[in-house]
Amino acid sequence: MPDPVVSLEDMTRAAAIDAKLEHLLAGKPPAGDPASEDISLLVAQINELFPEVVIPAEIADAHIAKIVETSSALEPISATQPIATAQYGLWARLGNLFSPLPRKIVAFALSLTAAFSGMAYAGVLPDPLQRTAADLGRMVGIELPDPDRVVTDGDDDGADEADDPGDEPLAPGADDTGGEGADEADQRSDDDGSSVSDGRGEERDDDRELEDDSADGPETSSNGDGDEGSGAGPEGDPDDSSGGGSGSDPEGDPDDSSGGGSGSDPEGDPDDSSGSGNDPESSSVDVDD
Amino acid sequence: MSLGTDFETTLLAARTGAEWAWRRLYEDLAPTVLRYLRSRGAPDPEDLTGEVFLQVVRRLHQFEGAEAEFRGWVMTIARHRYIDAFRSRSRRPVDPVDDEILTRAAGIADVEDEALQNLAAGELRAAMTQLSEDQRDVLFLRILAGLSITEVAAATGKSPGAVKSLQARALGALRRNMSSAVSEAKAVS
Repeated sequence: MPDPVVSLEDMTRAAAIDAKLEHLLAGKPPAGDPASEDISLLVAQINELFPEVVIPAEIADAHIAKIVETSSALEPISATQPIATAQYGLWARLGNLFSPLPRKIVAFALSLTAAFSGMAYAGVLPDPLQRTAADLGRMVGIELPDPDRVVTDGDDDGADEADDPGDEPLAPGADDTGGEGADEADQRSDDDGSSVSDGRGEERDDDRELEDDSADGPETSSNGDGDEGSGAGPEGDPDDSSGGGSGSDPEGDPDDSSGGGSGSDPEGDPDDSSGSGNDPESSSVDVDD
Repeated sequence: MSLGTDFETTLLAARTGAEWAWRRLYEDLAPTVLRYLRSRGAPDPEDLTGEVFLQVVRRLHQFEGAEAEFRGWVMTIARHRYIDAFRSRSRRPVDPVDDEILTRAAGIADVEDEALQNLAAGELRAAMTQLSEDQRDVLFLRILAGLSITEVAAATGKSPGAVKSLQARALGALRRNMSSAVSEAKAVS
């Protein structure tokens, strides 16, 4: 049953009465205060009604004998406790392990560890966790999928592209939109680990040939327009233009989507969706080199 | 009624099962326990006092504190034992052993009878019956057992403010009831 609500007046009165009672119980009788005298009279009457009793010696002895018997009955238990602990201590500790609360904690920890291990083995943890798990596993001789190792195995110079899973196996020169080109580049990168040098090398060879050609006459510089995809100058080698639009386009004509787009586009033409465009924005290779 | 500086030594000895220590603790506290149990109308208060001390023996390892706390702790056990006994008696109304023990304690019964024969005591007893259980409990623990407000609060599971309020109301009600009883007695005479 909740305590009744006590008003401030009641509390003040109760405190005053308690102070008087404290005086009375401490053996200090009130002087001149009628209320205190009333309380004093009541306390005296209550004390008279229930006087202090002397327990008969017979009953007291019987009680004390029982008390000592009970106390000594408890003593042997504590005296033998070390022996019992030595004999059954391990079992007692194991028993404590399986008391309700530790049992729940251990079960939760085990299930968490199992789930984490399974996810680490499957390689589906977030990259930082997976990396840490792989490192830890490697320390104890367990090979776990490592996000870093997946990228570095297939692409020597593509570390900056490792974060995009779609670009991981791609060579820098390959365009994402060109599925076949990507596959080819992937294949090449797997073959020799240098996906850039092959395709780019051919293009740059072409460029060099164009430059060589342009050295033959100033008019070849205008051939680099590439709008028509004809890199051949009047005096140029007709074979050079066979690649279709392989001339360099320093202006970065946004409308240029012609001829396979293998020409160099230093402006990074966003509309250029051709298969093997050499876009410096997406490639670490500087064409001007 | 107090062990004073000897309390710690006595308690330590009691923990090891020394008979002299238990005798001292019993002689110091048992009269107060018995007085409280009798004031509450406990069945077989002497036996109940023995049970209280057996409980003290069994739970002594749980106690920490000074003499005042020990006194309050023992009275808390006494109050719980009284409640248990009251409940068990309500389930089992007749206990023939009670009468035998009451007869054995003839001296105490004589004192009680003598008190009951007193007119003022009779009025007080009648006035006491007008109080609530909580008010009686607080009053007896405070006056007969000599516990402080804090100790009574701990024993009864109430706040000190509530104990003070119960105490004030109990004393006020007793005063009113006693005054009316005296007035009626005067009117009759």
